[in-house]
Amino acid sequence: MNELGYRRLSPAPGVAAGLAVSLAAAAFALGCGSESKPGPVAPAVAPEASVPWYVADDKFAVTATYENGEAADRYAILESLGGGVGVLDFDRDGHLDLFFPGGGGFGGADLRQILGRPPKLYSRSHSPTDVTADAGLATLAGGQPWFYTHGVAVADYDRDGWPDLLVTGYGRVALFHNEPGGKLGRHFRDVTAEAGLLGPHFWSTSAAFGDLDGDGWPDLYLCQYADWSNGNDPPCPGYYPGIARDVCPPAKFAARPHALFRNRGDGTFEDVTAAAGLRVDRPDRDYGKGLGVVFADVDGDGKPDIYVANDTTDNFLYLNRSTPGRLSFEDRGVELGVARDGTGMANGSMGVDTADYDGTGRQSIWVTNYENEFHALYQNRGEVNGRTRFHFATSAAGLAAIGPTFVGFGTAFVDVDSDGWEDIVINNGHVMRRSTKGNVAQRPILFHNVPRVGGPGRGFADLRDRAGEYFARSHRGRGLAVADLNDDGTPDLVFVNTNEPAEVLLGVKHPSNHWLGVELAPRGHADPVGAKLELRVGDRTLTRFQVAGRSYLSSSDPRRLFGLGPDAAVGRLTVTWPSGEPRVEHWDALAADRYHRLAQGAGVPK
Amino acid sequence: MAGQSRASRAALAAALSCGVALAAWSGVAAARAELRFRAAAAASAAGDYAAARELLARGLRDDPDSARLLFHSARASRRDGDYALAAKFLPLAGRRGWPAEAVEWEATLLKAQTGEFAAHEGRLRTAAAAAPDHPDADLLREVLVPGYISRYQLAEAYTLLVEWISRRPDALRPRLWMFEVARRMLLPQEAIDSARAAAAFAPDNPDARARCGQILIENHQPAEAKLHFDWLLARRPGDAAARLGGAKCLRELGDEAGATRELTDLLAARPDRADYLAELGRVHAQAGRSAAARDCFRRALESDPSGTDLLYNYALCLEQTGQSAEAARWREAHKRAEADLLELKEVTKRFAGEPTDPALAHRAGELLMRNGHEWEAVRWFRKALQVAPDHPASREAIAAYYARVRQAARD
Repeated sequence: MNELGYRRLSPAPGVAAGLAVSLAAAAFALGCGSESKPGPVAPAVAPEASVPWYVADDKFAVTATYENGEAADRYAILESLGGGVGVLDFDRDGHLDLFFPGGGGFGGADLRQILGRPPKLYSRSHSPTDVTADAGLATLAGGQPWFYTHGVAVADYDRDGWPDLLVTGYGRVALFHNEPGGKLGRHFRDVTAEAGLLGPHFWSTSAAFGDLDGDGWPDLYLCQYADWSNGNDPPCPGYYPGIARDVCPPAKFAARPHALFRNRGDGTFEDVTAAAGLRVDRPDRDYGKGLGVVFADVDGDGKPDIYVANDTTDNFLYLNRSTPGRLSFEDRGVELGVARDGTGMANGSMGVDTADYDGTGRQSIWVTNYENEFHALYQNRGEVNGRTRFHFATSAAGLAAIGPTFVGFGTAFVDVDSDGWEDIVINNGHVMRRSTKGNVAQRPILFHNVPRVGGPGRGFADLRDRAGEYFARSHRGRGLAVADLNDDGTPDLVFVNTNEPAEVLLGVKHPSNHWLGVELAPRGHADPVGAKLELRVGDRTLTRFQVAGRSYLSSSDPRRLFGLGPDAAVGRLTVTWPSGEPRVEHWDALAADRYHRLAQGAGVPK
Repeated sequence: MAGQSRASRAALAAALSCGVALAAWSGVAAARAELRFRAAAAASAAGDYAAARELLARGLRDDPDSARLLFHSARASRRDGDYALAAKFLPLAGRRGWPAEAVEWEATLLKAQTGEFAAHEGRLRTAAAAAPDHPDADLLREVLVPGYISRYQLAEAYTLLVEWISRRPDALRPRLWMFEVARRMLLPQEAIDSARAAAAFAPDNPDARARCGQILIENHQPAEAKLHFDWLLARRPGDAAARLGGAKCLRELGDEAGATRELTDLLAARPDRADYLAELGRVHAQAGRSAAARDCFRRALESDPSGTDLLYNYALCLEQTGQSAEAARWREAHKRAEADLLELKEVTKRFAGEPTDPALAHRAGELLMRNGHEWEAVRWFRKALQVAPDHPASREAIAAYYARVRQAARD
């Protein structure tokens, strides 16, 4: 204590201051029961503490970089969403290819022109691997330049047996039809206008294709984000004191109604958003600031439902009440407790996936959220009193242990060690430009599915420190896709980060665990989304689902993997198809450690 | 002569002895006074202002005119919240010769803490910024930070605390305040970091332990939180807040039976406590017992009718138990409470900046009243009347409240 009190305290002067269609389909004959191909020889390494779960794929040269244009210092919220990745075998040569939207930037004298960057298509079977131009993807129809892009959805929308591409972004979408011809034998043609998709898409983010009404044709859900524009671009201060400017929070903008398109089956789509019961023209204008979408049958009625992750507003669960030719949904997210977190707060939700993580045969919902919130695990507890019950199980499952500092985007359930239990991977990265905490770039997370500590059921343990070198570094993470790129039965990962090259990671094969891979082939190239697969392995039944969308702005390998653990003896595999006949059939004694193409009608019908 | 001379020498020797003894006694007294003053300074530095005041008061009994003791008694009283006594001591210190500039600064701090914060905030802030490493700069910060917090100037408080902590990384008070500010600013990781640091610096401080446990369980870190609650309960077995915190940890760790036992015990003593009932509801919900959870949430709502978490979970349980129509009604209640809560935050924040606007205080009262927080509502109506004694709407609201209370008493 100073004897003189505050004498010397007077101011001193001057100090103030996803595979859309088939993998190796050419190798598989149609309608011949199950055909299989052996998986490659796995590297014999043990998943010991010193062995990472994932290593970089140094043989596949992918240099795609999603750019957001932040160098212009517009601080536009447009910059914050980032990009995704699509997994497809566009030429059906048996090797999965990767499509990356390019993003965009700002141009013109006043930097108010919103520009697009062309995407990249990488083929694992061509050299050089970048086949964008030869595939017809360098420009839009008529040589028009690309728009500012974000996401990608892959589906065979016209059921010709070849995967097509939908690219989302600011102001419009682009639908590319996969056609014969060109240097590669296949190329894409921009058919957006003739498909009827040049509509009023204000700002589309994630999209999903799936047969929602059971007619076999994949319909399309298109998330819309918010009403930011050059004319609605207020300056915003930083999120922390002392930061003069940063990207505006979503609360500064109004949501825009999302869009649902019914596939007419003639190559065109019909906007049925209002007629199907989705949110349009509401007095409260709560349309959801959509960022992630998944089609998954969460109530077990055999029809894929739609779950949408919205940023700062209620997430949507549209329960499917459709009949062939007529799309109809009930908005039930709030009633079933999957719209908000366990305290009733709407979260800043981005990525989403569903799976049977706890061996109940039901799909639980997993959502990645913003910082200072917790990612949401909505455990599906089945139907009671005619209602599907969900429980917000984040903390009880140990998923809150990573703390509230992460901004989660792309995410997926993946069985990294083939033990039959679905693990979780998350791509993290902040949306703001400046942070006093230095966490604009963030480490990805790998959660290992383990028995729940202290009680029955399953929980998750943070495995990021053993996941590999990539998981030790921080990234401005956004999109994420899962694909078994080398067909070894271990899910590989493709990470998309803002303003840095995408990363392809190969899963390190568990030395003693076995696996079974399945590709569904419904009759007439009908859409398989909504199919349920149940495999008996010993005393367990492993349930997997054919879902669409998932993750964030991305489209993953559609094949389903079953981790078998150390037991290579495979029991009966039952498939419940979403459309066509027979609806339920089974296959017995499929060989382990390989993929099987299951054609509808080739199994033993129920 | 010789006799006189002997007598004189004896008297001189006696006088000298007395002088030496007196000097020795004075020296010992002065040394004791100095030690007591230093002990008071140490107590103040440790934040134990009551002890500091006691030591200074003993000093003043011996030396009532000491300008130094009067000044530091004024400061210790002010820091202990005894502003009246501080106001009494301070002018005395000035009159006894304590430097006028120091007295004037102390008076400024006192005024800033007793209703004139806005008038003096600028000067204090400038001074603290001008000499940030001055030993007394903390005295300015400790007035500025709670002043900003009480006025919802959280960004200012946060900025000041960041600077303060960077200069005094091992000081407890700024960490505890940072916990508070970060929590209010919805910056949970900062709140967690601050509470962890506070508990690490002061592992024997129950306040630091309690805050650490609280913020950790709020952010779903049950294993670590439980360590703090267990520490508290080992020392204060009857600490109900620590027992509730411990029960939350048990639930999140999967020990639903343990959590139920603890909560049942707590409810035996306080059967109507909304927070105990709400937590027991969460235990039942986690265990899949929707009907039991519903009943707990309903009872909790009787005590806390506008708890948004309770309203949400009660509606969810009603839906899960097949009572859809009733659930819809409670979802609407949740929506209304949520909107009111948002508006209340906005209104009280504005009132902090415009404390002379009775309409803002009245609106806060209205929002609280319709959400069942009657006594808090009355407090805000009274606040409106303090600002504008004739504010008719607030007068009517208070009259209507007391009329209802009287009627209820008669019934």
